[in-house]
Amino acid sequence: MNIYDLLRAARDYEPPTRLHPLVIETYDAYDAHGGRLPPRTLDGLGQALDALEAGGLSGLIELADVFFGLAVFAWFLEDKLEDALSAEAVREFIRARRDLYAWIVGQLELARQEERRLGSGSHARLVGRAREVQA
Amino acid sequence: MKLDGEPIDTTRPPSGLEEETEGARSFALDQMARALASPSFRAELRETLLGLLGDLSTERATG
Repeated sequence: MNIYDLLRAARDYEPPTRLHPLVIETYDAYDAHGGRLPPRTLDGLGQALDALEAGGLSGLIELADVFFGLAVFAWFLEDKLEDALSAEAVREFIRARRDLYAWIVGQLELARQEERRLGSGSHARLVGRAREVQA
Repeated sequence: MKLDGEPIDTTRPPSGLEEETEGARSFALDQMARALASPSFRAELRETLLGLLGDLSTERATG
């Protein structure tokens, strides 16, 4: 993955319109445990997200989809099921990924600096530059 | 966080039926899916996520 592909993906990214399967699995686990999120459920979800993080750009995009789904889940828990405790557990789970997010933002900033340095900011030039870097 | 835009059906499925569990699941997933499909709600979610992940502006995060 190069930073230009990451920049392009960030600019093109649209939040999902469907729940990611991992979010549905998390809801099912919550429901199966009588309305609570056992630690092992969140541990399992964490491992699944680790795998996505290691999956390159497509994994990161999917990870963003999961984050959106989890944010909806937290909203549903708090606003519809009035389970503020579980909602906060989901939010804390998202917060635990801040380091990854900070890394992505840092990479995007590097790509933007390079874009400014190249001058035109055209994607074609960036792609060309990316190929030079990869060569 | 409030939903705006398209109306959300908040009618719970009938209780006391054998299918209640599956009905509750369908209801929950449908509610979340409807929320996620709402453009205005997705915009709120984006801000929520940015708040959770760091004090970073949308501009900085997405360019």
